[in-house]
Amino acid sequence: MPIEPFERETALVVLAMRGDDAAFAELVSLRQRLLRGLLRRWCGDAALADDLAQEAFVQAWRKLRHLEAPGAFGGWLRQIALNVWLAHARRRKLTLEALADDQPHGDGAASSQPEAGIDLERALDRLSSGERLCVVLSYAEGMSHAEIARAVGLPLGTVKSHVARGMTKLRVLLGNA
Amino acid sequence: MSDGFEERLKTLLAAPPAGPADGDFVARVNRRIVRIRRLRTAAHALAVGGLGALALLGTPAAMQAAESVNLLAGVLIDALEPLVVSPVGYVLGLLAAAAAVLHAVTD
Repeated sequence: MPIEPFERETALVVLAMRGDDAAFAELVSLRQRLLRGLLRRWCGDAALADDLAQEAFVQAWRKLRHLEAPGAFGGWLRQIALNVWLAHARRRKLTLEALADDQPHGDGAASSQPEAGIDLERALDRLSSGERLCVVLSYAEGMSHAEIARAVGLPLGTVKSHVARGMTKLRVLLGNA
Repeated sequence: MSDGFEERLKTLLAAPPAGPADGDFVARVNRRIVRIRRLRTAAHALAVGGLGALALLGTPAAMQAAESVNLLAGVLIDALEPLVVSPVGYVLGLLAAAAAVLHAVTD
C-alpha cells in the first residue's frame, strides 16, 4: 500500500527528531517550494526570501525536539518562517517607515496603471515594502492592525496607513476599483 | 467592514504560492546544519576538557586547602592540650566555671 504524503512527512519528522539529518534534508526538499513561495509573497524579494527560508529551516532543525505533534510540522514550520520574517522586518523598521512613499521593487515597478488579468503576485510587487508587509499580515495571516504594529515595531497609524494605501492600489491593480 | 474585494483578496492569499525547488537550496541548508553540529561538538569538547582540567588542577588545590584546615586544627589542639592535661588547666577551668556561676548569680 503506498504511503500518503502526510504520513510520509510525519514519519520523516519523527526520524529527524531522533537526529536523522538525512530525514531532515528530505523534509527541506519536500517543504522548500511552499516555504520559499510564501516568503517570496511576504517580502517580495526572491534572494531575501531564500535567505529567510534557509534561516527558517535551520531554526526548525534547532527547535525540532520541542515540536509536540509531528503531524503539525507544516503549520509549525510556517509559524517559524513568519517569525523569521517579522524579526527581519523589525530590524528594518526604519526602512519600512521611510518607505511609506517608496517605489515598489518588483518586476512591474515602473507602472501602477491597472492591467486586465494581472495576478496577485505581480500586484503585490507593485506595493511598497511597508504596504506589502502590512497588507499581507492583515489579509493573509489575519493579524489586527495593533498586532502588526506590535510584531513589526511600527506605529499603529503607520500600519493603518500602509494597509489603506496598499488596499487602494490592489483594488486598482486587480480590477476592483 | 469586510467587502467583496477583501474576501477575494483573502481567498487569493490563502492559495499556497509555488516557490522554486532545487537541490542547491537543500545543500545550503545542510551545510549550515553541519557547521552548527561541528560548532556544537567543538563547544562540547571544550566544556568537557575545561571540566577535566578544572578537576585535575582543582583536586590538589582542594586537598591542600583541607590539609591546611587540618593543620590549623592540629596547631590549636596542640596549643590547648597542655592546659587540658595539666593541673594549671584544671585550675583555670575551675576559675572560669566559678566566674560564670558568680556572674549568673549576681546578674
